[in-house]
Amino acid sequence: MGKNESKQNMRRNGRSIWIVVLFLLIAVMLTLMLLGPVLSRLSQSDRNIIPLFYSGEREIFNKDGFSYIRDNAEPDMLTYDEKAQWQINTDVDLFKNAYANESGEITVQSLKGDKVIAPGTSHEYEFSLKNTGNISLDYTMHLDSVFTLLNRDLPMQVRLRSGDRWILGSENSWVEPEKLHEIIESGTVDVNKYVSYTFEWQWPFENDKYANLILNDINDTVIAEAAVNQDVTFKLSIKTQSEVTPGAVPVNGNGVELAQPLVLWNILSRIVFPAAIALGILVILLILFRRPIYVTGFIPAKEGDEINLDKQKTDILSSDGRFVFKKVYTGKHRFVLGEKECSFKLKYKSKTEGIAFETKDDILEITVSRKIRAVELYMYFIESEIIVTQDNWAAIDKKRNVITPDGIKEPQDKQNTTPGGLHVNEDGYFEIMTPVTTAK
Amino acid sequence: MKKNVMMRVASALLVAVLLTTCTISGTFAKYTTEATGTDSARVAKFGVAITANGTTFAKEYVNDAKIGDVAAGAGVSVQSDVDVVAPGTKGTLANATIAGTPEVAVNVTYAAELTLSNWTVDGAEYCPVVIKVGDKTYGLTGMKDSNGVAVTNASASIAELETAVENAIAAYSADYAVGTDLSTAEVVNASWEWAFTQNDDAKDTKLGDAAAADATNAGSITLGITTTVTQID
Repeated sequence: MGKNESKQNMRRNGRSIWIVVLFLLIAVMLTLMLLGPVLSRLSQSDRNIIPLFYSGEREIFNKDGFSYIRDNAEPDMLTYDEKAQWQINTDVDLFKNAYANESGEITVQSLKGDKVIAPGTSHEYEFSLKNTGNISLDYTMHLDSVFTLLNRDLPMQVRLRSGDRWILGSENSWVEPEKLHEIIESGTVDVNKYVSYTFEWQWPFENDKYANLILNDINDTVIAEAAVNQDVTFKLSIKTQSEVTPGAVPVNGNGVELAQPLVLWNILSRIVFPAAIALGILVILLILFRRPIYVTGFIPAKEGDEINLDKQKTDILSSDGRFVFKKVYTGKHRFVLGEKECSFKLKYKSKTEGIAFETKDDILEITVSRKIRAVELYMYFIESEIIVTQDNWAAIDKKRNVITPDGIKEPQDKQNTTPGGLHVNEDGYFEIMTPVTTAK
Repeated sequence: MKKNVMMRVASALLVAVLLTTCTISGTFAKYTTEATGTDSARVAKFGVAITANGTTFAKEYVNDAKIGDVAAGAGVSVQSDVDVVAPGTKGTLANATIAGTPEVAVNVTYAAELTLSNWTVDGAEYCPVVIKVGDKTYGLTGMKDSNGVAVTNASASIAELETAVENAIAAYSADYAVGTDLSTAEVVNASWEWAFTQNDDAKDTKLGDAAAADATNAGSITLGITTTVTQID
């Protein structure tokens, strides 16, 4: 008895845990569904980042008498030069490893193959930002430089332009690299459009910075001599950042707004999707909370024979022909014993007293009251069929009453036993008592 | 095998939760358009060193036959407390060695300054010093080297001679390509000599006498060479 009780407690605990798990999972799903939009809206306050999806509400608008809902924004800014597309940290060719004079003769060349600069060298670098997404983008551009030789200014000069518009320097003037970090270039690039920039630098032989040409040469020579024993480097970086233009809407390359007809979306979003979710949750709950019935009975076959329920559950007949299936849910089932079988449908009906039998479409319907927790059936054979006796049965309800065609027998000490020997103990669990009375 | 319905339900729920989480996390996923292009370059190495070597003139000269004699003072034919020249003396032009392999194209310039003073005998210019640059000899017209060979590039005057020698030395200047080891660059190959017997002994003597009488007005020769390495475009 103690062993059975322990097993029953374990089963009961396991079931409880699963119920808790289910509720937690549903709670998690609902919480995430509710919090998702709120959190995504809050997270849009960050600068220099773009939500992968359209950041605002999917706006509905009317056009030509029809309602539309805008497509998701797909922002994508491509920064590139003639050789490569920029990533987070891309090595670009702002410098070279060799420079030639106007005659094409190499006048400066790295002996190690790396990039170098020297008096008299210069270079022009062109790069572009292209909006390859479907929504207008604002961008900013920052430039910076670092020269590693302390206490000595590199006589480098730079300038920057976009087409004919000079951002730094001019056609006739250059500025020192220190000015680079002072500018923040910004603009807007519409869908499928681009903006190009040209960055130029030079290390002139003669720098206006030095009134005396000798001082100019001395400065250049000192820097070059310092470079003999250490790598004196000059680093340039150009960073671009983009974000969706406030108020912009997704458009195609021709500027036509990207949107879908609203009718379908309305039906799906307002009726079908919520209904499907609610139905799904309902089905899950029904599946979880459907209550099994303890089904036992007697069949006139020899001890040890196998009786199957739906080919999934098997029980071995005891000496008195008893079989037990502890969990049988409502629905269609079939008992199979060797070549003999019996199809039946088990269902609940609140108004039923005990058990009612009815045959519909050659299928026996066994209707039990919703209060019933266990049934005890008596069967016999007619040729290849298993027949369920309809005038001899027993059932036990949740109040431990034993119901038979002859009447109701109330529990004693919270326990009760059917005439066939099905016993419900004080904890509400079912057991088979021996000896038992024989079947009719 | 018995079906564990509860496990199936739990699995289905787990999948549903994962899908929901994926959908919502997609909302949180961020796309940054940040792009950075960087590049760095080091200053090209120059690293050229010029070192002057030896002397063009000396305070004393050894008789040719005694060169190599280890005895102190052995064979000294001319001796003074300052650098001097005299009949029978000769020397090689002090040169400079250049080291370094610059990563820029350079020009090596040799700028010579030759000064010949007080080489006058009886009111006429007379300078028996013959200067050899490369395979050519330079001197006043009619002057010969110690082998009795007349100078190949004769000058009519001291001034012309000075210019001719300076130009000959300057001709050693040259451009060198990127990455040239400058220790292999061509250096000025020049020497001088005052032949002992091939010119006019009497005038040689008068030059010597004049120097003895007034050292400040003695005939003198000064030759300086400036070597410069410059980056070129």
